Amino acid sequence: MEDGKIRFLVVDDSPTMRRIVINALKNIGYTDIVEAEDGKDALAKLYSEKIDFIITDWNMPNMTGLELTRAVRSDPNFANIPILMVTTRGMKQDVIEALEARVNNYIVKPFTPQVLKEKIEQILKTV
Amino acid sequence: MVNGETKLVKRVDSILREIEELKAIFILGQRVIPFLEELFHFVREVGPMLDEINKSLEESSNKIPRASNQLNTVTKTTEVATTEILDALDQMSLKFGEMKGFINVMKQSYEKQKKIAGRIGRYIERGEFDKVSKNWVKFYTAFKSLNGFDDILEKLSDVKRDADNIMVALQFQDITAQQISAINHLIESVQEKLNHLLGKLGNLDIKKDSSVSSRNVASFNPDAEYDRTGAKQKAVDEILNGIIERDEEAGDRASQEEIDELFNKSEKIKSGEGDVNSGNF
Repeated sequence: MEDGKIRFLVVDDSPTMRRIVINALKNIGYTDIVEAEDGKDALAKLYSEKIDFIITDWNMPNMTGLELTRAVRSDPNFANIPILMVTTRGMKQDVIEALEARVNNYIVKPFTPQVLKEKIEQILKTV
Repeated sequence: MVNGETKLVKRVDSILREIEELKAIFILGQRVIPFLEELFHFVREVGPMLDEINKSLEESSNKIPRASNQLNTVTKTTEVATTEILDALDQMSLKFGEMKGFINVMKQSYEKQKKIAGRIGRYIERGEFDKVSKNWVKFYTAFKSLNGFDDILEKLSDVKRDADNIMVALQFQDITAQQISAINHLIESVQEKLNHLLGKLGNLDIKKDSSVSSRNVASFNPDAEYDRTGAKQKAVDEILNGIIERDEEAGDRASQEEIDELFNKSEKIKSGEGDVNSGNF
């Protein structure tokens, strides 16, 4: 985080969803955003760019959001990066799995920009 | 004597014929037995194969209604989201019309003020100060009537809310894409079963369409649904808040029992047993 500016990594295999999340982030004042189309791509971006906050989908080809979370948490360099899971999955077992993988918060799609804002603020207060 | 010999010859001939017939029967038997054995083997092999065909067809036919239901869900989701987008666009269009009305009134008032201001300027130049004071009242009245700003700001914030609603509704694209991926997966698994069966029956093969890429099961959620009531998020938040509070108090993670308890509470809320204001979007 340089000069209080947070760089977000938005991970989703759907370009439409990436655009919606980025649009919502810009609307709430976050303009420094990097995109990735799946977990693998996200990991590559994480090594090549300075990322402060990850917003990831769960179901993606190549590497899921859950696998990405586990990979990030197992790397001491990135273990404390906030991760917000944004997914269509809202079953009990899904939330438990995500929490066990150590996501910081969880949003069920479809979501409003307001919910996204609240969750980001909630995470930033605790990290 | 001759009669006796003739009878004997006839008898021998008859025995020889019967022997020939028996021989023919044995020859036929020798030829038929391997065929019968083959037939027996075939029937023995075909039994389990028919069972497998039956099972596969049953499994495949069970998947077809599921695919059909999923397609109905896609259609419904698309219809609901499209209606929401159209409703939001209608509202935006209505508010743009209202804003245009406010701006026109403001423009007229501004033109009037401009005219009066010009007049006041001229009266000042000429030193006709009594007219200046009269026109100043007119100017001030016109200025006071220029009060559409708040209305326009209110309409703009309504338009922003409609635009946000469109952004939420557009998420249906991701949801239906996952529902369609689930249908593709079902169709592909039926195709695989049929390929396997046809292969067993006669090495026939249904050519797989290479333009259709089969998606990894982990890349879609077959239960994805377009639910804007906010009930799911509410249930998830109950869990998260419970766990976060507990983590803060105890410094460790919640047990499965505690998560279950929180979820049961959330499910009661979802089913209407608890009090919750749904529809927070």
